[in-house]
Amino acid sequence: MSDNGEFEQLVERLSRWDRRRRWRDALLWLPRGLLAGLLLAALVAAAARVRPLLTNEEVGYVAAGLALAGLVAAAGVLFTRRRTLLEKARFADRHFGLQERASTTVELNAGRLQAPPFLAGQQMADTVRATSAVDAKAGLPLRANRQDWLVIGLTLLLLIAAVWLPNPRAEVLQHRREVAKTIAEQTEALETISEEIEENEALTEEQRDALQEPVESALQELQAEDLTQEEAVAVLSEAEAELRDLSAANSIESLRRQLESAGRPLVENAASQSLGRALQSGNLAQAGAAAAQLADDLSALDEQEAADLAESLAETASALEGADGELSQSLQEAADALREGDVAAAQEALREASGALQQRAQQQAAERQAAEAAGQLNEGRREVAQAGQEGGQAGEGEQAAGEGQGEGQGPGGSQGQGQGQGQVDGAGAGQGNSGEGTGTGASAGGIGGESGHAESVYVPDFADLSGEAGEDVELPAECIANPESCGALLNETPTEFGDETSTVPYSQVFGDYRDAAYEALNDDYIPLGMKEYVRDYFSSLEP
Amino acid sequence: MADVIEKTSGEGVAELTVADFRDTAADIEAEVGKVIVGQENVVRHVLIAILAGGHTLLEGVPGLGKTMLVRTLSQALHLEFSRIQFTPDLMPADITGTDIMEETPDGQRLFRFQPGPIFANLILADEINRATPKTQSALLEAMQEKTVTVANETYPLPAPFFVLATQNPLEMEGTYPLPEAQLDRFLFKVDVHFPSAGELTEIVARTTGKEVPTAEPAADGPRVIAMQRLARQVPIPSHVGDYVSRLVVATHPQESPAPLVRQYVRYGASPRGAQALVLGSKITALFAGRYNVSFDDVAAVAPAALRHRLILNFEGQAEGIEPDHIIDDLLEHVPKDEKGDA
Repeated sequence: MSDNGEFEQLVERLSRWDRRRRWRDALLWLPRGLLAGLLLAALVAAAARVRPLLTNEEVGYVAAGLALAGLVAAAGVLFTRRRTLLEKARFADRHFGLQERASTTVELNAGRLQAPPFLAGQQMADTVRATSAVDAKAGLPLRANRQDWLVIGLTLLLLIAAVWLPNPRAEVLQHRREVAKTIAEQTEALETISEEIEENEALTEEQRDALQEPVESALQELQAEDLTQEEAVAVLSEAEAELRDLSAANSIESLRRQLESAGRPLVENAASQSLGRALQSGNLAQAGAAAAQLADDLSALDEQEAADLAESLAETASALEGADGELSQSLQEAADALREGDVAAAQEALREASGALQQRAQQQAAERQAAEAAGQLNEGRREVAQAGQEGGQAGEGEQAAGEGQGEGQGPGGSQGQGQGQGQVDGAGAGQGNSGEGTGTGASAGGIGGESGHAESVYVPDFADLSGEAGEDVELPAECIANPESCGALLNETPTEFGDETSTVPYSQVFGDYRDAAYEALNDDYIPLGMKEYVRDYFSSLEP
Repeated sequence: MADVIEKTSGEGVAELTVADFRDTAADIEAEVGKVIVGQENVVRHVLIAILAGGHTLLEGVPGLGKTMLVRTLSQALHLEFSRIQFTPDLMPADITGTDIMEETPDGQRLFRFQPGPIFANLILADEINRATPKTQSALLEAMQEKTVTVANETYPLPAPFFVLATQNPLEMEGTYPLPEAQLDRFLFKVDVHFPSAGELTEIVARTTGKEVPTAEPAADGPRVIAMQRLARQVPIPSHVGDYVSRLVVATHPQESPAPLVRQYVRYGASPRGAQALVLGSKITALFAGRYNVSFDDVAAVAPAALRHRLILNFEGQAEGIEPDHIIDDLLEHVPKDEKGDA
């Protein structure tokens, strides 16, 4: 056989052994790749039972993905690696004890080594002779490792159990996800509010900044990581309170209430009809424009018309005296000037009135914007507070409705016993009888549906005093804008400490109490289902 | 294909095949084996050193047949043999020879170089550590350059030229241990061990009988040279060559993967150690009937090639660490493949 023929024979053998080596390695390492993925998945499954990370279904998907990834990685390493002829030769030398014959032949053939031709020829013949004696089937047996498959089987059983058995952390996980989702939704809602404020042309720059501040602050805090449900509720509540304060600060409610009656005299006058209608309709911006127009038209009025207009303006000024002193004064000055025949002074006064009306219009816009934003935040806060409650129970609590007993304390101070049927999606109401008082009890539905068990929880009565006994007090509009002017109507009930009448407005202290409660919800151990009752309690007390 | 090495013109080197090499080597060992009982490993290593063109240091207690081995080898190789007994009063000129004054028939007086005993093919430097360093160093030029310089005149030594030195490891009093530079010039250091009981019985039987066996020539100088040339052409795969380099580098404690080297070695082998490993491996491969060097060949000659090149530190000397143990540790820890792919 020629040297070339012998070398080709050697190359063919080396390639055949390399293929067999790949299959042997595949039988060994593909299961190990699979095992690596499964072991990783088992760790994930174990972690998911200790911490709320994944649902059982997700654990299943993760396990399948990791197992597949392990297989693919092992196959990739095994089958994509290309070995040079020298590498194949060295492997053959090493594995079949060829004493470096094959690699020497390959290197001699490639010209990497030098030897006299007769020696190189004898070396090649020696190599071919030695390789022909190799039993590749015995040297590279194609068999799998039983221990590997045993561990794979055990790991698979563990994973199947992890997917099939209920995960005690599933409820918490679902709750967290829903909370996070709701917080994200509220973040988007806040961004929308922020855009609306920015695009509201009726607002001045100062008003816009004032409105943006609580919204932006809330946005920033909501986007913080590891934000708990309680913190999110607190953030939204705080922003809402600030917006309500802004709304109250810009409130022109007392003025608005007087506008209808105040505008009537002006409507009856032909010259000031448009101003009067605008005032009656509450459109202060239009009223401002109409006042300016009226100022321009004054010079065209005859004496009688001027006198009539002065009368109407005086009546309107009188009607607005308690609601808006500045506007009232301007209108009165205009009326006086008309009576005196000083058209220029009247025009000046009307223009001042127009300015005042424009300013009130901006206040009105700010008030509305703040109120609207506060309303949206209120709704968002409730959604965040309720997030995870229905879903968590509905998802896991389908097995049984809970039964519970509740204890309630009636308004009369008596206690009542209650029994209730807890539904899967919420708390059941309970009724109880007591000696003389009427007790109300509430029972919580079986949370998670684990056993249908429900715990009794105190739920305060909703303090709806509107339809109950008691005296309705109707406060004049100016009492809201200027409480100090209302005197005894708003006079606080004397405390038991005697003559001390110093009080703090409820709206100011509420936030502190609510924050303290929410902080306690975070720091102290309170069953998850019970937290909502605390939040609802404070929600119901909000000003 | 020409199954021979090229004829070397002018030196009378016979054409030699690989098979001839193996046969000749086997014949030499067989002839030596007629006289020397056992000590196959010693004979093999000495023969490898000779065929590699190197010198050998034989270490063993007196009476183990070291001198007999060398004398027998000279007979089997049909080489001129010369024995120099090293003593403290031995002078360099006693080895190399000297210029002596002669009177010619016409009455003129001339200096004539009188060659010393070193002018032979096979030199037995018996108990080399008993001579003074000055005398020992006289061997340096001869061993390395294969020439002798006397009175500014350089004289070539006959080819082939081998020095086989012996030394006694026990009686160290009054000796002059060979300096590292001189030790490094020996290709191999071969330990001659006491024979087993069976071998001893055979030695006694052979040497106390009516006829004392003698070795017949199995080769001659030109044949030995031809064998040397053939051996040098044996290919060594690149990864085996790399392994030899890593092995020698690993004898140095700074970056050695072998724990014993790091702990007990002060200084490792020189590049001559790598040359000794490669040359010895090539001849070992031919002895094994192979045409290329393998890792096993390297491992087979590593102790003889490296043991006298490892300089132990104080701790190693105090604990009596055998260099062979360190070499075993080296062979165990130095990866055969650079990537560590076993």
